[in-house]
Amino acid sequence: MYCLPSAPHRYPWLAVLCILTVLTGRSGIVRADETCQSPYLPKITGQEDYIYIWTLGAEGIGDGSDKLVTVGANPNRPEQYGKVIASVSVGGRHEAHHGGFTDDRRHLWLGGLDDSKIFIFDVAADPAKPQLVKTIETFVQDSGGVVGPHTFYPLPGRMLITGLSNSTDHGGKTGLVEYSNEGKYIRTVWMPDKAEYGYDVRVQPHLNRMLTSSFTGWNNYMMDFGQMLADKEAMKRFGNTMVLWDFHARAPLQIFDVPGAPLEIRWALQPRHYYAFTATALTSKLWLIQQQPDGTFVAKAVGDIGDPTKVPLPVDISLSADDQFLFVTTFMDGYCRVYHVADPEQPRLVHEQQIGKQVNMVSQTWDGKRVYFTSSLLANWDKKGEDNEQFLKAYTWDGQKLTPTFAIDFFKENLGRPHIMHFGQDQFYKNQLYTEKPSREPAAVATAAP
Amino acid sequence: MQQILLFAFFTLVLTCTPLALARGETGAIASIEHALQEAFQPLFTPPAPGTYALPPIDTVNDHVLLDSAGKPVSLFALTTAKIAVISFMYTACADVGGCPLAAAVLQQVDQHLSKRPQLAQQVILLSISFDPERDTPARLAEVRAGLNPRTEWHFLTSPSPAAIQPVLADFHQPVVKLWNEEGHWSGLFRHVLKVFLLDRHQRVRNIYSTGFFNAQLVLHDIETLLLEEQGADPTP
Repeated sequence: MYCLPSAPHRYPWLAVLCILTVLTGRSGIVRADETCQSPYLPKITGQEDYIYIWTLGAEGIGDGSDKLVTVGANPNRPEQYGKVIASVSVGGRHEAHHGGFTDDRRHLWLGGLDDSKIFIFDVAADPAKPQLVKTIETFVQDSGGVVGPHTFYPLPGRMLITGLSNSTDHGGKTGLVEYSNEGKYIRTVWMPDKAEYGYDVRVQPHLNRMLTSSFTGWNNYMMDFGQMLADKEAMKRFGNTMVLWDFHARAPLQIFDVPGAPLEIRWALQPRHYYAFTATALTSKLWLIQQQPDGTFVAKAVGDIGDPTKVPLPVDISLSADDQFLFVTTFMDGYCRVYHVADPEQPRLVHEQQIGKQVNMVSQTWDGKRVYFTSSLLANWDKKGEDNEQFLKAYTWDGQKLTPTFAIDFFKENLGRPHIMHFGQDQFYKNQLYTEKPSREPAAVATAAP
Repeated sequence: MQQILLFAFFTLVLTCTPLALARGETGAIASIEHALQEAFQPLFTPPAPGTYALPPIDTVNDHVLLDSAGKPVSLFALTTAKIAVISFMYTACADVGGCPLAAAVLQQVDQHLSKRPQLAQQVILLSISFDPERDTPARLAEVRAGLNPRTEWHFLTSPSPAAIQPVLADFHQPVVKLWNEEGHWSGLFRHVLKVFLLDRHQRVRNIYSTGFFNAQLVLHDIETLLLEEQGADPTP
């Protein structure tokens, strides 16, 4: 409206100018980036240059510490492509797991599920060499007892963080915690009593709705996997619920029974697609959470993932930008299954491929052409011996099949167990109009308001 | 007023449709319609004022800006006694989900406030340009005149591009100049729409963005802050 209708009779030329400048300046730009980020996060466009991989330290591997690993991903830079170009150790093992950019994409927050430390990296100053600039060591204290920062979900000016556990009993009761982009604690919202477990969080701002899912507490996710499977009491302590919230009020509205630990949540990305998918780890089912004509939501299972009796353990999902394909990784068999989900109520398996002996995270580019996988689930849940492959693998996707492009063995490179991936790009940070926040001081030439 | 909004709607559609087609973005047209629909016909009713909390997110510094008369003004002097709604924009913006949307919503807020004079006295709307080279005070004065605000709605710019940098940094408002393939500035900026709600103590209490920004939501938040000042407990 400023540009055109504010005073159209005064600026008839402005409309033409806008069209011309946009056409000359932006036509041909292809959106890349990951598909399953917060809608508040600005997207990088074109080819990603870097993949940032939050990597668990492994005993006897390199320095044994958790680290942020940067891998070159731009094929036009052969000196970097498919190679480790930076690695920043944070010192010690914290159960590196998930992370996320701030809403200005200048900082990458990375969490440790064990001691609840949060490591904040500056990725704007030199996207090829992220720098650790701050560590939040008071997450449990700040939040009033939330343990295990998991999902880092950018909101305007702040970071929404899900917990997995609590400091009272290290069980599954947990909450949602918010910090400002500068690392100042804002508030904690505990999960409702009837759905006290937590895992992922995703917001559908167009509807003022937020979904959370549920996993298990510190006592389980830090336990040896085989030992936990044999412990009947431990196996009872998994989340079986999802919660729909009034996002603005941070108030729970509906609780859904979704048995078997519903993990990652992916809202559909196209306009007027008011539904989300999740996958249940223990029951191996795809679930659809869909808005009804009356505005409420219904959750229902819409298909099996592999053979649920074999417990393939679906761990991550990635929805294509056009809402056509859902990529599902299953840890135990190391497979990626691709479902055609144009009809979200009837997912159709169109491709499956083994990525490795184990596989965990999957990240897909916005243009749908590239897909990346990592291998580690949790330090004590990863496979043992020769099955404990630790890798980043890159593929192209042509709509029908995955074709490998490069792979990095994270043990051979003395790095550790790779987990979540995020994309970076040099061009994104060029020509930004500011570089840092000034100190808080009064204006030098303040004058009275008229 | 209704005529202005309708004109805005059709002009935006007519302008942005060819842009979207030129970009070849799948679903772009639907996205444009979607953004406009959500601004003017939101898909949700915000929670009632006072039933929720808006904890402080951040504090901002004072800054000297230029008003549309070219006079230096202090941000704090403008906002200390008011609840402020602050939008960063540039007048050449052609992104339907950005500055034009913000202007349309602020115009609705202005319209609603004008019908509630007591509430309007508590509020100030500020549109701050990050394109001071083109958005001169004179230009902003013309834009303001075209919008014909009925309540206190100021249009501000800065003396130079360098002068706006600390303001953008303070509000964490990313703005990037977009360059074309020939190495020239395209005349456009990439920016994520952010509109800030400040209480009387210059504390940021909410930040709106595309997809979650409409007049009713802003008004409810303003009323929530006023109820908070009166000691209301937001616990549901």
